[in-house]
Amino acid sequence: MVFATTFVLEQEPLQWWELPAAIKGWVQIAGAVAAFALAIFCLAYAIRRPAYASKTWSRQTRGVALLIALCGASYVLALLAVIGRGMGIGSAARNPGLLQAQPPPPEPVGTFSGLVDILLFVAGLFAILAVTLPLLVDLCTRIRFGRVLAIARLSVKEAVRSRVVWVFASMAIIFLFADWFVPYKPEDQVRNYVRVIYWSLAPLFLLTASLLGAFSIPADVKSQSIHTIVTKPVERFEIVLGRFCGYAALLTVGIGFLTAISLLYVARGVTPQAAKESFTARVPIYGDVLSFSGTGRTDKGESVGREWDYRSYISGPRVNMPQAPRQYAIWSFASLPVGFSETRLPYFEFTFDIFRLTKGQENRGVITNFSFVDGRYQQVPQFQAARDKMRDERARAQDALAKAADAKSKQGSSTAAIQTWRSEQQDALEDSLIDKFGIYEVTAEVLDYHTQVVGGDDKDKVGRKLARLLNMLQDPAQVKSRTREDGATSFLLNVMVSVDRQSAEQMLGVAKRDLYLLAAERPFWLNFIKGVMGMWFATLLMLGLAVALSTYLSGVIAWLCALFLFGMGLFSDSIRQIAEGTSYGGGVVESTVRILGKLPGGARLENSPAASVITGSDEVFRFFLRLFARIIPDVGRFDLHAYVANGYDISWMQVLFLDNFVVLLGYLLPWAVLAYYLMKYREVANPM
Amino acid sequence: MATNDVVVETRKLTKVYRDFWGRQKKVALRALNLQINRGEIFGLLGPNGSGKTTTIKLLLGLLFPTEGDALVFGQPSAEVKKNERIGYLPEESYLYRFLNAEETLDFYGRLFKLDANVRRQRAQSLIDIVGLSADKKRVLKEYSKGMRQRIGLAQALINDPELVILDEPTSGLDPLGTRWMKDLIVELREKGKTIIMCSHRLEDVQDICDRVAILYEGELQELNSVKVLLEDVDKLELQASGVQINEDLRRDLDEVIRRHGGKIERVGHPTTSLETLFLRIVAQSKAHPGRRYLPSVDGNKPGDEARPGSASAKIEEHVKRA
Ligand SMILES: Nc1ncnc2c1ncn2[C@@H]1O[C@H](COP(=O)(O)OP(=O)(O)O)[C@@H](O)[C@H]1O
Ligand SMILES: [Mg+2]
Repeated sequence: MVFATTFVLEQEPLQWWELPAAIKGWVQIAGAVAAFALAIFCLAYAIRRPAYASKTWSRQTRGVALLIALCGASYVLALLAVIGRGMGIGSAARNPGLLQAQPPPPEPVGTFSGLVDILLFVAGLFAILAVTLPLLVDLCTRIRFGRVLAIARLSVKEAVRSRVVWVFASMAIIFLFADWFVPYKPEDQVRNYVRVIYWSLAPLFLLTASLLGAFSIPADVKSQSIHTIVTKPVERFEIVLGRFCGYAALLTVGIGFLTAISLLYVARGVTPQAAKESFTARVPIYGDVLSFSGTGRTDKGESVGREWDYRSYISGPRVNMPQAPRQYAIWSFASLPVGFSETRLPYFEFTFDIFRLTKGQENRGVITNFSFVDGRYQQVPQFQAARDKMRDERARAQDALAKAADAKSKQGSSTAAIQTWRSEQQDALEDSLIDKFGIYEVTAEVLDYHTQVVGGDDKDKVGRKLARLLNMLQDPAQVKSRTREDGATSFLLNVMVSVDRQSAEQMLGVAKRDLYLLAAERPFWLNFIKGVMGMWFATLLMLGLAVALSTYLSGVIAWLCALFLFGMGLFSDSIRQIAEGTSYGGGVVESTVRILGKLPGGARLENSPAASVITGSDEVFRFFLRLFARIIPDVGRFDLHAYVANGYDISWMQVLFLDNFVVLLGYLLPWAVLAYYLMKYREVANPM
Repeated sequence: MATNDVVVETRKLTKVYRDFWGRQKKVALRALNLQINRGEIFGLLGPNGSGKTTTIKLLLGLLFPTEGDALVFGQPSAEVKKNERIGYLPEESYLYRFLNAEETLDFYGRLFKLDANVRRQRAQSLIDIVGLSADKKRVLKEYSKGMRQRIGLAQALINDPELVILDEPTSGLDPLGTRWMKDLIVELREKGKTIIMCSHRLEDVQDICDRVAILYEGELQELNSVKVLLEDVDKLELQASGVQINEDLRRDLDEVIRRHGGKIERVGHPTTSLETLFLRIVAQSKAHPGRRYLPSVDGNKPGDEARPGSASAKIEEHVKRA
């Protein structure tokens, strides 16, 4: 189900520690494409030198030639290294696989896996430099902001006067009538409004951006008005930049305006239930690893046969399998904030899915145990032993307490006084157990798809205990005790979730983001704006794509291509999966064979020549698919409305800047370079 | 001539139009060699499709040569910086339809390194020069062909260019507009500018060009000064006023000519061109507003005054001067 009712991120946003690896990959791929283009250019130049090429080599030309030579040399070296390795000379260092249940890998994943890797990176870098050098030189020496601005202003004026901006008014229809078509439960009110607005605004702006971008330069070429511009001292790329900036400004104003109105629309008359559910922006601190115990695999729980495998499941005790090990979902935190206090209590929140193996308890939730456990217990049996010891100790202490209470009542103390004394003693006991064992246990009733806080109505009481535990765990002496012999530290805290014995035959569906420490709550409106910024990035991507394509293609074709690329971007996950060969049921050819032959997706194809032809053609297909997967934008990451709709804060740096903005730049830059060349070496008076 | 007086030079300039697959569609220009000097009005002449526009676009870098070179101010035509000193009026000036005249000139002015004040002043004075003061707030899509040509010329002059390239500047203009355009071109030359214009209307070129190149099917047929090209050295022309044509006069003239070894071919009244006639009518109706042509009611026919007479002499003179 796509419209899950809870916060779901199918794709983890890019992490900072992944950035070096991402940059490396980007340089290698973009560099290879650039090198390919350079190779074709050099070949064409050698065969037939264009008459307008200047006869003398400028400094810039010499620089480019040098870079091309260096790039070629690096590729040759890489090839030699590959051949050398094939013959056994020198062996590439292998990344050791990371072991599960160890601290997370902020180790330098981006570093190189061997000589070939480095050489490919270096060659790519040279190719990119060779290709961008003329552009950079132009940017520094020739391109004037004033002219870009003039063209941008022209674009805005043109668009405004041709009444393009009226499309923004069409949003009014949605505001007027959305209520008729959006049924909601009170707690889903904000969620649904945000969705409706997002799904109306996004297509509106994407379509406007694609139309503006794709048709502007071709229209100028067709009407020949571009002749009066390029015969002024205008660099060709200034036209591309000017068009892009002008329309970007226009769209920005439009988005800003509609965002303000939408915000008013959403914020009027929020029901109390919805306000509690999602009219906020929670700042969660997620566990670093979600692992499982007792399910057979550490990285996965049980599958309940749902097609959508975002969540995996742990089951409670089975009546017919009394010997089966207890199943745990374990969220491991490597670090947590320090200094919890009465005014700053740690609240853990969670949202789980329920899957029932037996009927009959429909209206009740699943009774679930939450154990907050010191990370030094590195194995489940270790933890269980400590826990049992703790329970014994508690039982004994409580016995003693009961006896002492009896004695007190015999001495004639009032019942109320005894009650108070006893609960104080009980409290002190819990504290001492936490201090001694580093374990704190809570039981809660989990309701289907609801964001709940551990402790429920008693969340402050639970929070106080958790504060004690977390503060203790972060004590420097404690941290030292978690340092292992190999120098690495184990996790700070494990949160172990299991289904209680009372809820046998029930299953809980969990994902990494389903449990978190609530670090702060921020205002909804700011989060709404951040969510729209993701859409704004997507709009800029569409605009840039359309403008870049329109430097060479005619308006309609450029528009269709931009829509096609962007549309494929919606499926970029699947395309990448097929390209990497990780999709279930094999590649396209294999799946077709499977469908025609009615073979199940998991069954192995027989070893036969036919089978190798099938998988072989999938290899070839995948190669082209991989190339293709690189030029389609990954647009899913700009869709941030799930955060807003469910009330989760969008982080400025990690989501907006790194995962959206940096990725947008990485995608648009090669297109900008392409547009630079297409525009510069185009005979504007001779449209193809 | 010193090399820095050569503003435009083409060497074996050739342009072959090709389709997407590189197949040859049309040889539009074949090995053109030209040198255009500072301060002259240079005409490119030829029938439709002879390669005039192609030549101009090659000079401007709108097209790239298939072979040969096009140098403007000694720089290759693809060089953008030379455009600071060039003004270009395209054959059909489609400017931005949603801008008015003022905004149009302001926009083009911003593409040059012009001070904001200079830009504004120049735009105003150009609007006055091209006669669009009354329409400067109207958007260009409402303009007639002639008005578009005028604003097109204004945008070409916004940078006070040294070299003005005009592609069919008089096309689409009425005779009055044509005259105005020609006067303006001559004025530009007097300010020391170099003008390259092309036309298929021979009389335009004849009136104002210093030198012409005649193209046909992309090949250069003739290149020389207009005077040299048109002067018929075998014939003699004589104009006189105050005498009537009669047999006596004819006989006397014949005698004189014979004595010098020639022969009279024709004696008669000179006919004027329709253009001259038209210009005169307009001038007269401006001088006497309210007069109109009333056919055959009484003897007062304005058409009578349209015959050559003393009133039209001034205009004729004016035309000759140009
Ligand atoms: N883009 C083009 N593609 C193919 N042929 C063209 C193109 N532009 C012009 N031509 C051809 O080149 C020849 C010269 O055209 P042009 O220079 O426009 O002539 P002129 O301006 O003298 O009327 C014509 O035969 C014309 O059909
Ligand atoms: Mg022409």
